[in-house]
Amino acid sequence: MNRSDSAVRTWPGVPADAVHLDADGLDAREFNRKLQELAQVHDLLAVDNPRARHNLGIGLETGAAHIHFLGSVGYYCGGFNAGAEITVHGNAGWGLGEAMAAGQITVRGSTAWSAGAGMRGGTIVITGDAGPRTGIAMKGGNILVAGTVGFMSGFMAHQGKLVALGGAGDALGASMYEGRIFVAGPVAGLGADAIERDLDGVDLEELRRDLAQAGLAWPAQPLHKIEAEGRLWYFDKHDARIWRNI
Amino acid sequence: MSSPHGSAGDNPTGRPEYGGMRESPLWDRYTIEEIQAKAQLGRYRISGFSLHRRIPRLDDLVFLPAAMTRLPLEGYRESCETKTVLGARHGCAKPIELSVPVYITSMSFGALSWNAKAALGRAASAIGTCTCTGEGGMLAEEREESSLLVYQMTPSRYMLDLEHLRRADAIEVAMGQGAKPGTGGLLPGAKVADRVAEMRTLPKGIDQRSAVRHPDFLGADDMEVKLEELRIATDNQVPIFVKMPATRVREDVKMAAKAGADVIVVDGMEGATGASPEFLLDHTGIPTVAAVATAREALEEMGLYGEVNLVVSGGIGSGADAAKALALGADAVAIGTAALIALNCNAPIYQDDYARLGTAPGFCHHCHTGLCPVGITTQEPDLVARLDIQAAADRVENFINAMVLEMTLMAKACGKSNVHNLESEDLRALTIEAAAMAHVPLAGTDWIPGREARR
Ligand SMILES: Cc1cc2nc3c(=O)[nH]c(=O)nc-3n(C[C@H](O)[C@H](O)[C@H](O)COP(=O)(O)O)c2cc1C
Ligand code: SF4
Repeated sequence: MNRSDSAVRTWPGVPADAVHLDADGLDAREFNRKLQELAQVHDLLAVDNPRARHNLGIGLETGAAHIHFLGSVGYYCGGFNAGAEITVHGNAGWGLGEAMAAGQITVRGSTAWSAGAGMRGGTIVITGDAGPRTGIAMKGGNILVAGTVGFMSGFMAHQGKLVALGGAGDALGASMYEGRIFVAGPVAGLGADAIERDLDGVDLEELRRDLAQAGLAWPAQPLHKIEAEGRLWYFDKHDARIWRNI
Repeated sequence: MSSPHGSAGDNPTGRPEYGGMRESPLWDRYTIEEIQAKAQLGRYRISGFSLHRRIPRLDDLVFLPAAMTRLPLEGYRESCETKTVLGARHGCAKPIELSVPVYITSMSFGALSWNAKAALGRAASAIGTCTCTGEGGMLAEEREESSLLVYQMTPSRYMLDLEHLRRADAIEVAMGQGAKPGTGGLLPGAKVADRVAEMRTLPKGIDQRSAVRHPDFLGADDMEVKLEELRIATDNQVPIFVKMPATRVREDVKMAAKAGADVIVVDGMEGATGASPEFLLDHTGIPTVAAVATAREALEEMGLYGEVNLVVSGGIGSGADAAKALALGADAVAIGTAALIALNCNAPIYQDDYARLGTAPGFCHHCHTGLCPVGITTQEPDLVARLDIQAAADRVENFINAMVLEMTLMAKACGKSNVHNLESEDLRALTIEAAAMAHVPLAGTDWIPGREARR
């Protein structure tokens, strides 16, 4: 296997002075340990040959470097991110940036299921499409998708913002507690308790800023805002007095 | 059906008669009340505490201490080891080292008050054992009080991030609980007070019904990747527990072991809850007595018994129960309800407040109301203040010490100098059901129903 498959290509947006780490020959634990060490000393890292392996770039802390993965990554890339900036030059597997608290992850490609699962803060930008259950259980932060999001995206989200500029699959925003979904393009269907509401000035201002920062174009089709109606927040109110006492 | 020979035959139910009235064994008062309550509510009932029916239990087993063919140890003189190490399987830097094989199970802040959490943590630290966060995130007071704290990662992932993960002494991945297998958590709005709402990122006061499926893994293979992610995120400092309800125990335990669990926690159907649809408590899962033996055998079949640690919970209420669980194959037991009862649950104080809930000490299962008369399962500051942290911690510490004394006394009577040397050979069953479930012979026979005689 050529040690530097990914290094021989040029990667747009990856500065020439990035310090390179070759993922080949390292298991996930060794890789992450090396990456953490390098991230302490260098601001700019490029990972050669990620080869869609799982668990790359886990638990990076605040102030860590900007890390470029030169190729696709597997499951849970950027999981528990606590402040690093990560760019994936390829696609990402399940659970990208799960439980992330801060920082930014940009995928120049598409993501599989459950990107941003349970995230509490920070931003995920996906320039392609995002799979089902994107933003599931998210509790804060932003997920910005240039393409579509798959079915059940935003499922049981607590807070945060999910933006899909190319449409959404079925059961969008099912059983959300709070939080906002903005979608342009066709929506296959809304999920339980999801309701469309009008965008207000604050929404528009935020979206303009978010998309500009992410380098994503304003959509040609109109944006719709999806929120929880709140019907699932309580058991039937009329029996609350009774069920308190049984 | 009347008999010419007196009243016995008039009452085929065998139940007491009430002024000549006979109660239907099928549609008894309990059943009638149940239907009429649902006819008002339009939904299932919700309740805290545990199940409402008799099931085979560890209580149906007895020990065979030493007599002629075996030598006992001096119960009041000789020593018996209780130290317990959990989670060394993958060589993490800090396996959980407990001074006793009993710890406090996962009960969330939200279900429990902050004082209850703090008291349990203080008691556990005094004993040298661990306590667990439960699903509601990591409470600052609890972290402070607990020298060893297991952090639970549930499907809802409340408050889960790197900062909190790294404050944990172990991670418990929750795949359900015995009270309500296959169903997510339930926290009635009365308990979703400011702090609870903030920690769970919820609107205040809503009825929280949390997720049951994890958001980012579904099966054994992706779970394995997930557990490895947790190890990387914690720099393999701490062990990983996987907690599951006792349903398809043999298969589920194998799957958890394959996925890489260091410790497997199996919660029997007796396992309690802060709030659950009531019918789930009674109609789901298998009893703890059945779960332990099956879990041990599952690990044995994989050649992993002893390497993957086994913890059992659900209805453990005494040192005898705990000793039996260890004899059947558990490395440790986790207690919930018994610890709450030691705190003061169902204590005969503040009786007017029990009455206001329509109950009385000894009958209370009203944790779901958020109006716990003794300050344990409530978020009302006035009620919480009724639970004095130090006094409550002392009671729990005393109770666990009493449990451990019972365990060591039993072990020594069986001739063991270490509680972990208790084995299922030391047990006999008093009922056919318990014999079949625990895979130990019926007392006075060699018969294990469903198995060949083993001699
Ligand atoms: C008030 C209360 C809250 C609980 N909260 C949780 C929880 O958050 N997560 C969990 O896995 N189990 C929870 N449980 C279940 C316990 O962890 C445990 O499985 C059960 O109580 C053990 O049975 P025992 O109470 O008979 O000892 C809770 C139980 C109680 C009584
Ligand atoms: S006393 Fe409190 S903890 Fe005990 S059952 Fe009643 S409400 Fe629940």
